[in-house]
Amino acid sequence: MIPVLDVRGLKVTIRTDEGRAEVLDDVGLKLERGRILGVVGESGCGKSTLIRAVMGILPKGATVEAGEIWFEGENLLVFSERELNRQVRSSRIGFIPQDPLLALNPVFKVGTQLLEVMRWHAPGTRRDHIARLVMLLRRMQVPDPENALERYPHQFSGGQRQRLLIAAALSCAPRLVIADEPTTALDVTTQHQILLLLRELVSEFDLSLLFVTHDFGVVAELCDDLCVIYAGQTVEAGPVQTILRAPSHPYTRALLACHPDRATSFVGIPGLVPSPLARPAGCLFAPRCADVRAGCDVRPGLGRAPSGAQVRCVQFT
Amino acid sequence: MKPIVEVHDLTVMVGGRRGLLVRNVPPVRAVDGVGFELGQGEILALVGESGSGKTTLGRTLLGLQRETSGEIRLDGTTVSGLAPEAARRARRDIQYVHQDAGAALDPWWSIGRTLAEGLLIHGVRSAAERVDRVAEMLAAVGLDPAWGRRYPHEFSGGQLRRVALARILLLRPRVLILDEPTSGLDMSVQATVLNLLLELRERFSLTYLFISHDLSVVERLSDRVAIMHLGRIVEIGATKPLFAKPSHAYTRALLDAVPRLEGRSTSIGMPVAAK
Repeated sequence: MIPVLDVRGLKVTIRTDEGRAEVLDDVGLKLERGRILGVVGESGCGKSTLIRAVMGILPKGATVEAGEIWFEGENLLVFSERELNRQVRSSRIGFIPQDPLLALNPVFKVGTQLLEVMRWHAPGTRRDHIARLVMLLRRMQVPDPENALERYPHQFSGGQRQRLLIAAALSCAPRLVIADEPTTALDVTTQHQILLLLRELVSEFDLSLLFVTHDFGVVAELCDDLCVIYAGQTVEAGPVQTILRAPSHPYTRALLACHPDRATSFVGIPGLVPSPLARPAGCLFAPRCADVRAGCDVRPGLGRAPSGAQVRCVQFT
Repeated sequence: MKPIVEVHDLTVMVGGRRGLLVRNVPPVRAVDGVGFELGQGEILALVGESGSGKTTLGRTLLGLQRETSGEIRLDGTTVSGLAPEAARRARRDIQYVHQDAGAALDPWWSIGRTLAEGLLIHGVRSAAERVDRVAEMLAAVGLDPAWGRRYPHEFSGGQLRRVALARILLLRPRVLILDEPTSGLDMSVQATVLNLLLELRERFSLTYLFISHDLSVVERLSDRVAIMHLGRIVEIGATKPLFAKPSHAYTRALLDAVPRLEGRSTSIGMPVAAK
């Protein structure tokens, strides 16, 4: 079966005043149909750029230097802007943003905003659209779904707004949904409810979900597969349980050791993610790695660890 | 352990308005009969969902919000029932570290200037002394003293938290109210900030009231936990036994909701009453 999303060797650079920034160097990930793939990494590792590359909304000055983005067997990189708009965004790839308040315009009714998207991207008439939205809002457990469309964003709580945006992402019946840290702004109890809801929706609507986060706890609860990104490279990829049980890459191990559930003391990872303007020669994690050895001065490729996960470290190549 | 802060039956009403031409809006009982003690050197975590009243409680302790009834004692002296300005003066030993460190700093002022301002307000007249104390405090929170010349945008999120801490510690407080000190930080940075908090507590013999909704962090960091729900403390106790055997239904619901590294929770979770 072809994967829903298959990103291979993606390299993206952005022209800046200070030179060429290598934001993504070699990112690969594979999302199989009906699965939930978590993408984890610190801020500045390129998670957002990866999402933007998949949706074709890279900022000005950014170029895809190499790599392929296959979505349901089609290479998205050959699509024109118009084709992406007409055939891919919203209609086949839905997006759940991080901040539900920023994503909704405060001066328009919720219904106006959600129906506008459907008008362009969903088949059927306005009446069909309203019926589908009300059905989705009911499914998302938004109170009083019939009248919710007539209300304004400020009349909803944070959790309810996130539910509205999940409904919006699903409104045009997409195959793939990309979620960018959708629960960071929420309380634990609300987060828990949203995670359970997402899990149910994936099987109910036959979706595949790409879930970006920096919280390993959320990954453990929600995801089937995991892809750890560091400084624009995939450093470890495999099933969540495998990686949680036996993390192989020193970066994955260091990140997991920071989680309060596993931490023996609060140490953190010394140093910072290297700037995309000046990546170190050799392994990108070596300057912060606790396990540096001979051979770390050469950039490693992806190898396979004994756990079965794909790992980019000299120990496993 | 001698309590440094004692709170008895504190109630705070917020909002509400009455008028001839506008609709009457009854005030909300944001904090409702809360009582607890804060021991010298202790870390007490205040946990609850948004709207549970934890921030209002923090503001009231500071003196920014006036209590409606109840008593607050600092070192055995009653500091409640005062006019706002007098209340703030009486509670100088209690200071607050803002949740959003970036928003709490003036982008047009260098860090050094911002930090020195607090000292000036608190009556340190000698400029040389201010400079020395700022440099010393920047070093204490793990920043290069020379960075006092830099501006807020030149710092990362974790560094800004350190700046915010330095700014408050310059005022030599004894009790710190930390409002979500690690929200929005990467796990790797969060760990370093928590570590710093523990270090500073030792060094400056501080007492923390730690407001958070991240229960994994609370479990690791705090000595005792108070669970707030709808303005009341529904459960309070030592961290370990409380996490191992929560007695209130709301505490159990909260704990069930925490995403855990080990194993997916299968329970649907207790429905938590809406506000």
